[in-house]
Amino acid sequence: MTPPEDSDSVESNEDLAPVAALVDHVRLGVLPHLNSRRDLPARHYAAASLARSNRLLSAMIELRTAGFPDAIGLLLRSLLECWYLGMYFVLAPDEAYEKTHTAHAHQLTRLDPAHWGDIQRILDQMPVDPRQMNWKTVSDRVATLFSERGYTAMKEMTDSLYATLIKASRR
Amino acid sequence: MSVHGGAAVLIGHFDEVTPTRFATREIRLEPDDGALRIRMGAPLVETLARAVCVQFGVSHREIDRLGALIGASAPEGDHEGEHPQVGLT
Repeated sequence: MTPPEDSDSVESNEDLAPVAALVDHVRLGVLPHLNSRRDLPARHYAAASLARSNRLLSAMIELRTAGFPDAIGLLLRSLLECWYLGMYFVLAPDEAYEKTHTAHAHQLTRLDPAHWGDIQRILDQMPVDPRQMNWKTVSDRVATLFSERGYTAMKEMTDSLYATLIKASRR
Repeated sequence: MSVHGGAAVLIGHFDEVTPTRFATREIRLEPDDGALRIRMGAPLVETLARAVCVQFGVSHREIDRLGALIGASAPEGDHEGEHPQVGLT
């Protein structure tokens, strides 16, 4: 697709060379080594989160190059959500696995209520109330997990990113 | 930096606003050319990559090197150098 002619000129990506190198290294030097046994699905969700996050960052660079700076924020929000889940799977694998799966099942029931029938009956059978999970609760939980392990800077980063990229976008 | 199709996003496409007329910008006004948001995203991939490498027993030396170049591997705080240990405790 041709960039719009009146697009503001985009500076060279040279200043983002370390970011591009990180994307390439994760793609070529990390992801091919991430293999898990079938009984370790939770840690593989973390690997999948990394794959998705890296792909989104790569797309952000491509959008900038192509002259679409006003679309990059969409991907940054998705990247942050992916990072939350990835870190959740790293820090509390079993808990993250249970909660994300029940939340996923809940989303399915919302997508096609005619097919699923009595949604409340399905929700009552789930081990964890999936409605407890939203980006605020996930962000808070990941921040708490960082804090419990003494990673104060990461906890502050988590809180700051939520305030900047999710809470602010609701205004 | 809203991701929604709300008023704030749409107003970004207003142009030449005068008391009598509006024009339309094809490209929404942005604070920069996108580099800032890419720099916000890079530490996310860097920290997650390091944590996953620790979990899988994969070397994260190159990630540490690139993270230092990006300027994200040691955010200001009281736990300098803490990131490589995420996932081990």
